[in-house]
Amino acid sequence: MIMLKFFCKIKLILFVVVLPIAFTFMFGKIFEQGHEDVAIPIALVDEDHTNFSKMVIERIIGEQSQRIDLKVMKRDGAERLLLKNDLDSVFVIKEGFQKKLLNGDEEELIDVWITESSIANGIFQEVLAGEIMRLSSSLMAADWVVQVFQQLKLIDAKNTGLLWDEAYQFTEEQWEPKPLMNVNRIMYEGDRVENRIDKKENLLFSPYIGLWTFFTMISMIGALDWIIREKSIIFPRLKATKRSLAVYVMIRLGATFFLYIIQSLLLFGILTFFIKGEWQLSLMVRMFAFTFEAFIFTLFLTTFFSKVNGYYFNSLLIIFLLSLIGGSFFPIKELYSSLFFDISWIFPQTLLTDPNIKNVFISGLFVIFFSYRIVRRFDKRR
Amino acid sequence: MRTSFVFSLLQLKIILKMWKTLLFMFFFPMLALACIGFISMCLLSEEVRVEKFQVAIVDQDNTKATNFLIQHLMENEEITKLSKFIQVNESIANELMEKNQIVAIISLPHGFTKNIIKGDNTPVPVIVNPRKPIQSMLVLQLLESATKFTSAAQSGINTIYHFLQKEGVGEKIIEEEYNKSIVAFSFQIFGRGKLFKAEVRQGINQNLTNYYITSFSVLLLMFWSFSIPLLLKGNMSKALQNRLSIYGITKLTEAAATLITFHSMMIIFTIFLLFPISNWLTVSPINMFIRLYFISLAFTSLFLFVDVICKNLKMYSVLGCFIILLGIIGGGHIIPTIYYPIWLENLGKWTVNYWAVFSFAGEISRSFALIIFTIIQLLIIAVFLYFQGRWGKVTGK
Repeated sequence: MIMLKFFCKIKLILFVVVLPIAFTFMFGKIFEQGHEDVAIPIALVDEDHTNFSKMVIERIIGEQSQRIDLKVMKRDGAERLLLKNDLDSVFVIKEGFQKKLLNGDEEELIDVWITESSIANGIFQEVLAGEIMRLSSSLMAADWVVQVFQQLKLIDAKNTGLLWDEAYQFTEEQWEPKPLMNVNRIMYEGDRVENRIDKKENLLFSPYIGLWTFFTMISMIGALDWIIREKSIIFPRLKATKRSLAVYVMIRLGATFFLYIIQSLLLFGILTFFIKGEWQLSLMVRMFAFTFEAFIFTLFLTTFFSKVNGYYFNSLLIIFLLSLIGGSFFPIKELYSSLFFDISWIFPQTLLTDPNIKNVFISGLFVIFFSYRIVRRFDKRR
Repeated sequence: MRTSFVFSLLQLKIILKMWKTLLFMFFFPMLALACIGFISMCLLSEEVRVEKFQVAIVDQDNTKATNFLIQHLMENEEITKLSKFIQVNESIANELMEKNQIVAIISLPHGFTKNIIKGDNTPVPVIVNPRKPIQSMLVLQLLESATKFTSAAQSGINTIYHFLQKEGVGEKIIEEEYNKSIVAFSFQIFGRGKLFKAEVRQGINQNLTNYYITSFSVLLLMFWSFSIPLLLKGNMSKALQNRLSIYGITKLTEAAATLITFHSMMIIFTIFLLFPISNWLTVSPINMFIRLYFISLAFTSLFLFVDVICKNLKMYSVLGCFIILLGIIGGGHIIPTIYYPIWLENLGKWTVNYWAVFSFAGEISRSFALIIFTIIQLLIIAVFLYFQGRWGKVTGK
């Protein structure tokens, strides 16, 4: 009955169940969308305004990669945006581009403006060079054919134009429907590696789960602050009553923890319903395990402080740091594996990112240790 | 006003009593930001910078054209800056991949040259190593442009060959022209660097390091201003508050006092931050102080507002975390906003952090936005407290 009483506090339910889930979804959406659409802005300025320059721009836009956000703009606008650091780099197709290409002169056709923070100009330069090379190869081949024909006197002077066009067209046709050579990307799938790719694709880092760990831990601080408040006032009095302190504390903790279990169930349900991806049932179990470990950890934190604001302040900072280095915001596992010491197993978030059974044991050990400390500290107070 | 001052002195005393927490508060955000910095440094250096990565080429065709292609890859400047190509046979390549020593295997299939001369599309399988994601992405990118150049050269060569053959020119001449064209086209491809003329411009943020120093300093100010109300709040019990209000210390006086305390603390913190940063960014300390001051003022008013509308610590901490996360995303503290998609960038333009980062970098219009924001915030707080006080009287509290 008492448990039910604690259970039905609207504020607590709002705080434990609704807030973390709402925040998780809101930020998760931003993270996911933002991550998908991240693109490096590069501007292309056309000062030639001829068929060739238009064709090059059209082709580049046609097959531009997702990671480059190409904008065609005027010189002044591009310059201003570059100086404001709103562009990575600017490529200017200079006046006389077509004329020079037709004459076989390929020197400094394009001006590239970069700043010290430019990162993608090298890659885009190769892309642009590819298009120009395609054009200049066609021109060169056509010239070549005409020249050889003239040398061998196979053609009249007046028909050269026709032949040139024909040769030019022939070269261009070899690009349709696909260029002569292209890259066919294959993922390596060795025996040992296969497992890892799988994880990387769907579970190694999902912004939702990561953010959920953060918001859950933050809300746990708030959900357990009554311990600090009542530690010095109510707890001593309770010891004198028939119902012992331990029962009171256990029931209250149990109710809160039960709410967290419901919350993680709810989140799991919403995730499977709305977000595509393989959400296995084992993840749910691991979410419970995480909730338990985080809960015990927060409880452990409450034993250190006697003032509410000190508790809030310090625990917030600790949780924030833990989320940061434990991988709530970034996929951290890859990083630690490349460092000389791999400490990712310490963090409770690893439970969620790495289904290795070893992690469960380690967290189990932590939980036992923390519980022991908590009980000891409570005992001392008696 | 006098009561506010006295009250704020009291608050300062309370804060100074918690000197351990205060020290923690001062150093912890620095520690956390150093952590992020360390992580990103590691990511950058580990993945890209430290050593050239190896790529294996398996040539199953072994003709003049494939040799040309391999030579092109091995001598390409853009490529050799990052990677080293080794030519091996298939089994060795697989072994190396198994040992995680190479990033990708490029295998040129049987009949590759024949197909290309015929003018057929020939995909080149590239097996990438998923354990080295960034490097393999780079290799793919480079290969894609390399195949484009090869296609360009080969299509030109094919055209010449085709037209000469169609016209029934003698075998010897065709052979001669064919060889000549291979040399000419490859020469042209190798010379593509001269198409471009690069020019380095000076932007506002000179480089990425400076950008991150700017962004992290703003974040530091934000953390600090978030944590000061956290220390002040909850120190006073309800009973004490009621007694104080009898002596005419209203919520408004309390908020004014908090503002004074808050502000003076922030100035102290700002001064700590001032000299290293102005030194690093080579901006005069006075100029830098003005920028830092307005930024800290804006954050002060923001968190004071949150402090005023939240009744207890619980709400304050949750709302505060929410605002900080929103600020981190909107202000582009981790990933610069220019790399965001447009909708997110536009969203970010409405966060305090965005204005703060840019006014830190010296954009005056953003500083004005900050100042206006601060004034509006303070007005809202005053109006809010005024009405809260009146309502309080009506309900008899």
